[in-house]
Amino acid sequence: MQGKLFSCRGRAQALVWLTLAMPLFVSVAGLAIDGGVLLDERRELQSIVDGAARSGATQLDMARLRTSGGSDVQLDPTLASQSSHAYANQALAASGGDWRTPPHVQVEVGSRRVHVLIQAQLATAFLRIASIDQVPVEAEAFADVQYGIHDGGGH
Amino acid sequence: MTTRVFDLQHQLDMSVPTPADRRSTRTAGLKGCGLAAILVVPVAGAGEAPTGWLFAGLTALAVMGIAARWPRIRWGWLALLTGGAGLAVPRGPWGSVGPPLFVGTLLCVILWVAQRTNARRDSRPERGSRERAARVMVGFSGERHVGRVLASELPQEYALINGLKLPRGAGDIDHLVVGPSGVFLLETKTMAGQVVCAPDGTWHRTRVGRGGTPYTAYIGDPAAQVQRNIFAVRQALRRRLPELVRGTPFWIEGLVVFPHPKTELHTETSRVPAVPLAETTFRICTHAPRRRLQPAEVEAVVRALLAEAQPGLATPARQSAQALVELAVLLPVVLVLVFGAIGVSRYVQTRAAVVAVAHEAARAGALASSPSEAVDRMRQRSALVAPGLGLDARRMVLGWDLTRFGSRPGQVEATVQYPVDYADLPLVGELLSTSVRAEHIESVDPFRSGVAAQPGRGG
Repeated sequence: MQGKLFSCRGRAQALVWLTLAMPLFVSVAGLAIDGGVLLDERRELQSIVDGAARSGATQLDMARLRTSGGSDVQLDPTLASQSSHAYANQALAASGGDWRTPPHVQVEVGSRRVHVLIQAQLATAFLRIASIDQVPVEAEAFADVQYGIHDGGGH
Repeated sequence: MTTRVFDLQHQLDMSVPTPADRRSTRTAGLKGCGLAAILVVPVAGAGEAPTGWLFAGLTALAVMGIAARWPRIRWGWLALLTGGAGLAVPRGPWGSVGPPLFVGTLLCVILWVAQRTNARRDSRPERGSRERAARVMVGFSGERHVGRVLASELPQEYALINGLKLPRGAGDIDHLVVGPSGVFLLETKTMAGQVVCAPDGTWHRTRVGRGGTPYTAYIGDPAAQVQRNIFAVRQALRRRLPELVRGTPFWIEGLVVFPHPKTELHTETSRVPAVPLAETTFRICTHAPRRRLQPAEVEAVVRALLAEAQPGLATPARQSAQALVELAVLLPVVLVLVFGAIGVSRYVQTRAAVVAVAHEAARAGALASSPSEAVDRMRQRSALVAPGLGLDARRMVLGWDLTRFGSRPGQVEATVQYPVDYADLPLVGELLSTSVRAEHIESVDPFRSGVAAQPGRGG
């Protein structure tokens, strides 16, 4: 009788060990997946802000350029902002990220520089278990106006 | 003198090892090796199936064959050698070499551990040898002597249990004394010479050899043995007499008793008091406990401990089998999780690289003068940056949309698709088969000279 009792206790011990270890393993795997998604979305956002900033930096103030005879090169704040916003919104819609709230796009246009910042809240899959429903992600980029004669580059 | 003496001492183990015993000791590592091979060969070989399975299986058989033929080989060095080779050999040209090296390293490590365990066991006198018999006889006669002395010196209200064996105890409890002054657990050590307990808890004995030369040898820690047995007694009483253990602290005293008249003790730093036999009874009877036991409680404790005494419980073989079952149940789960995590990391890495290539390709295309030049630039740029980002340019599919190249504002869209390779990941490789895709739109600078509009789409 005693032997049977002890044997049962031994099996229960293995089950307890398994039960305690499983959440740990699943947590590690969940953390890896959520972390991976976070890195992926961060990289995607960076690509979008880069493109949006450069898109805005192509919108020059043509009236000022013409009246100055080509010597005063400045950005058109309205057009540049519109262009960056349009690019970012189009790219964000195409990317299909699992955002908790729509990403916030902020564009600042200077005389020769465009600064784009996108802030978003990414919905988590596994961290919800630990009451972390969302994690903040943000990316920013600057693009400057260059004029004159330049090498085409690209290689 | 007490008449309440319970002798539970087991028979002396004076047996001579049989050939089966010797074989069993020698093949202890082989069994573990075989089990590990059954578990690991399918997993390790899956990355290079089917040759991986063949080579891994042959390696396992070869290692076990060597272990059976030459058991004294230096497995530790062999494990280092195979492990080093596993890290150093390039996988590209010889992909199939990975599984056998992995299996070989693992089996060598198992055999090395088994070899070390056996070596430690072999340092004790062999079962059946004269030295072993002499030690057992000395120990047994010492215990009998202590039992007789205690029985003759303890008052009648004390009970003495000799050779009690409890589940989860550290071997037999040489003597257990239960009386009004408490419960006393005694471990007998019959040895002559100077016995010293060092501040770090290690015990050693110095004695003079036949030639007059003193020599010192380490002895097992009797205090640890006593403490583990105290724990076992407490657990047994907690199960059998919960109302007695609950409430007022119920203390179990431990003592290491040295019955040999030529023992000289220097054991002030011992966690458990060490005393010569002559002082033992006095120490027990004059002990002032926090709580004195009533005669009925003494009787209940003795009855409970006798009821708990069961020989042959929890044999190491059963424990070992249980550990193997646990390992067998957990290993696949752990491996799936580990390889799954590697798969996720590989996906993320590939995706980040593909996004970067699409970005670079679109930028290069946007700097072109015409759509046809844009295509050339995109191809060249993506082929140039892909290797640096860990991608194989030959497996990458580049697409483009240049329909808005000449419009105002002009745009170049690049699309990159790349298959993620999970084939070398066992267990999960077969389940996963994905490719990642990324696109990037780049604006064409309207103020660049020489931009020609020839819309096109391709890939």
